[in-house]
Amino acid sequence: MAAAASASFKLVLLGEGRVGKTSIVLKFVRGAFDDKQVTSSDASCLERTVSVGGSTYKLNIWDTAGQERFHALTPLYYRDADGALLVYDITDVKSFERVKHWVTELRRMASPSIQLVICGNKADLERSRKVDNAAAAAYAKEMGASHFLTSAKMGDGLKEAFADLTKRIAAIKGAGESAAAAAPGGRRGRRGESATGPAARAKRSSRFVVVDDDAAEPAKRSGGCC
Amino acid sequence: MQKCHPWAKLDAAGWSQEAEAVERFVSSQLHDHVVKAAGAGRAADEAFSSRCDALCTFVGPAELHVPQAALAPRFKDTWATAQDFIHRVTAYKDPFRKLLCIDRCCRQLYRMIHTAGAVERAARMAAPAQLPDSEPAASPAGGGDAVDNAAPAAARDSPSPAEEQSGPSADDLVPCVIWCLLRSNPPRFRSHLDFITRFRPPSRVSGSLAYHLTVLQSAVQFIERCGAEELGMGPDAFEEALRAGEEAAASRQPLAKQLQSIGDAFDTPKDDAAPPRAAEAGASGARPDAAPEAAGAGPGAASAAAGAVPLPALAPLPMAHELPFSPPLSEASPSALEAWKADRYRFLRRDPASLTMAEVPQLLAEYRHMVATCASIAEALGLPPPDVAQLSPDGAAGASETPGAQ
Repeated sequence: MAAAASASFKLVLLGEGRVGKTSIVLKFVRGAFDDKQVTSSDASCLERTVSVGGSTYKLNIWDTAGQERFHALTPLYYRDADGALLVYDITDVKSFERVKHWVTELRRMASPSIQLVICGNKADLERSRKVDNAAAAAYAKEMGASHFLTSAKMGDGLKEAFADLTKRIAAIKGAGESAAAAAPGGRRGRRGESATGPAARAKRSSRFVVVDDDAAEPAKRSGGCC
Repeated sequence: MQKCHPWAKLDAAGWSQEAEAVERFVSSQLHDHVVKAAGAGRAADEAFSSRCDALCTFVGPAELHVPQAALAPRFKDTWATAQDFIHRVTAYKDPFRKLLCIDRCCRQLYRMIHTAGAVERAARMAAPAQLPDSEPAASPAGGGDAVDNAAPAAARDSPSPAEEQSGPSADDLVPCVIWCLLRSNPPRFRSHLDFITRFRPPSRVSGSLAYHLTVLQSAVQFIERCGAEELGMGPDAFEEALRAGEEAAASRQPLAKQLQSIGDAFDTPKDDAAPPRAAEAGASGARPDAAPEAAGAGPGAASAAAGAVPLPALAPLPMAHELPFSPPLSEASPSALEAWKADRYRFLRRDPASLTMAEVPQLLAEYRHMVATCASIAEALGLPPPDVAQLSPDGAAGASETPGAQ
């Protein structure tokens, strides 16, 4: 039964236009998918099943329109969301300001238990970085969010960001649920891993992807997480 | 219910099917009473509808930043089909099929953006001489390694070379949905959306259905609230254009509004099993009895010209242009208009006892004319043909309050 999703979470992607929100999801998904399939289905709403800490969760990832003029519409998208992935472009200070704006708004308007992860995307363009990494990480910490550097182009940091978000949501939700949910620390049991791994891999053709816990842990530290 | 006899032995799948069927039955029975009932919803619907009309006069795809590539002539049918799906939302009487229509509409638009983006990308990569005309869905250019500009960047100011846009996103989808909704502007659309949320609990709307419902809700909200800033216009220019648009829409409105209320008054719940009509006007006609799958198969049918539709039950109908039309009503003074009405609608306020046999043929002729008019209007608005036989003797006024009541 380990392969059946024990819960499903709704995640929203927020971020200014052109910061690469959609690319992040597509890249995250591509681990288990060839891009022909991905692009011919609707990439603005994707469902993925991930395995974190020995439990399996279904993620509904909702893309939002990032343009400024659609800002007023975002509450419709993030209402009853369990987590939000806020994306900025490390080469664009304005996009980070937008993220701050959103954090404030989410803290005020969205469900109080919503978990936030801030992603500095386009980490491959380190040379032209404009947003100070330490400052961004400090801001995230202050706001109770995780901070990751991601690169949709290279695929760096994506699994870690999604794994962390899932883990934190599971921890929040798991507090009220029975033992099946992941423990807050995300301690992975060898047994759980071997049980879910093959089963979930067998289901890859039917839109399943497994986020490997091993990879998530160390990278999270180096990613400047709070 | 789950404990009662016919359902007691069902497994989970069977039970959910049963629940689906029961939901469909119950909600379709209630549909017209809920959606068409007078109330705050009606006012909001009308406000929304006239705002659409007004915005339509000066808001184009450019203002909404609809990707340029999606406006190519080859996508005309796609747009028509998407609009058709929007109209069908109002034609189906149960929330699930309404949701399916919304989903199909968004998918249609999404696929179009994807194709448009791929075409553009292919054009950029290929030699400028040869234009790609094959469906690029078969070969999405640029593999996983080569990250390139997939999304149409025409509306964007400065796509940086390193921009990673691996496919169309909500950034492009939302403007397209807004534009599509603005153009279709089906009657009472807000009420139909509300109907879905009221009769289908969120727990039973999942995945892309939920997402696309939200996209459409956000499109409605955008249309209702958008201002100068969102459309990239000066505040004065926006106010000016909106006022002009409202006036222009209002001059067309009275007829449409009158017709709408006639349609509502005559509208009674119709059997889902009504015989399917073969061809129907695409942009304005909704097919209450065709399966949603049908449209994907034949987008060409959706672009059939409006107006050339034979009505089912009323055989010899005068064409619209054959009907003796009144003098331009909008130009007449109010008192002249009243006099004109009293003359022309001479049977409207007559006591039945005062009718003479000699007047009956005239009355019948006028009745035929009215029915023909109402029917063609109802048809054009995507409503079922008026079922006047069910009206109460006290006339349409009573029936408009409680449509569908016998």
